[in-house]
Amino acid sequence: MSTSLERKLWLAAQADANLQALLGSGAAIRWGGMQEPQGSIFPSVAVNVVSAIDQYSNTDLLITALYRVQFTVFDTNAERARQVEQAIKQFLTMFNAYSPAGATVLRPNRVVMRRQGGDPQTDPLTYQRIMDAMIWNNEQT
Amino acid sequence: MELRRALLVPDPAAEFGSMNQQLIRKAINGVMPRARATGLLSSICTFQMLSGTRDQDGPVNVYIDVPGLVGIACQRAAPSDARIQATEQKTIGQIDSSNLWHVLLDNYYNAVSVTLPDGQVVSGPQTAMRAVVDGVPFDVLGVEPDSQEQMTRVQLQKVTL
Repeated sequence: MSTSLERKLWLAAQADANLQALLGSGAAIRWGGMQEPQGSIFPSVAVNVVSAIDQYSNTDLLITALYRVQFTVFDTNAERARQVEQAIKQFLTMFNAYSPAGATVLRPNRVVMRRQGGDPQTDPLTYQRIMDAMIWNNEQT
Repeated sequence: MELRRALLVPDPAAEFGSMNQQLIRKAINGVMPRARATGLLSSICTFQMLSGTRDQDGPVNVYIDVPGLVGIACQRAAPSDARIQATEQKTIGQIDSSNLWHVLLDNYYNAVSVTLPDGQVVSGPQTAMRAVVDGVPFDVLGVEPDSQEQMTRVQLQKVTL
């Protein structure tokens, strides 16, 4: 049975030193889920699959699908939120859900959008950094 | 204090008719002293405003006490005693949960002149301020003095994710 892209991202994030330092380590890492969990410690990251594109040849369904994944960083400290955003960018230089990891494989991730946001209802304002990345995923691994 | 109609309506024939308005004023003036005497105003409220310092993200989250609006005795209560208010709002991104309080201050504070960091002069508590009640900061949603200038009521909110 294959592993979902969300789980691959979650497991890989736990192994990333930069993300660990900002988001906690192990399964307690504040990463994943579509929503910011209520009462969460900041910073934390919600990971939302916006869309996925499956590709077909003239005879078959190809094993790789292209996902648009939206990372939303939540933090009450704007500068720290930007640090998490940078850590995710760095994380995507190493993350590979496309093929078995190796020195020669491609990691063709692509960030297609980055912007800031915020929740003004809270005091202080809860800052958000929102990043959309296109990530290839091997649907059979 | 109960006022009978004979005291409220001017009556030239009445021996002490000229005292009517003074009695009403005296009754009104006695409202807050009696409220304070009950001991129910057991919380402490301090209004704070942003220091005016800014950085690349706008106002820095540093608050300073508002002169004249510090250490005010108050009573805080839920805005409705009839039912729990549903204040949780769910979106895909996050869940906002708001905590609302209705707070009665121990006196009329809308005459206190306050100079904000930007130089603007205002009177009394403002919605641009925050209120720290018993050590917990709240956003000020509204300020309401009474028409007889005896008391000030504020509506407070704290939103958490």
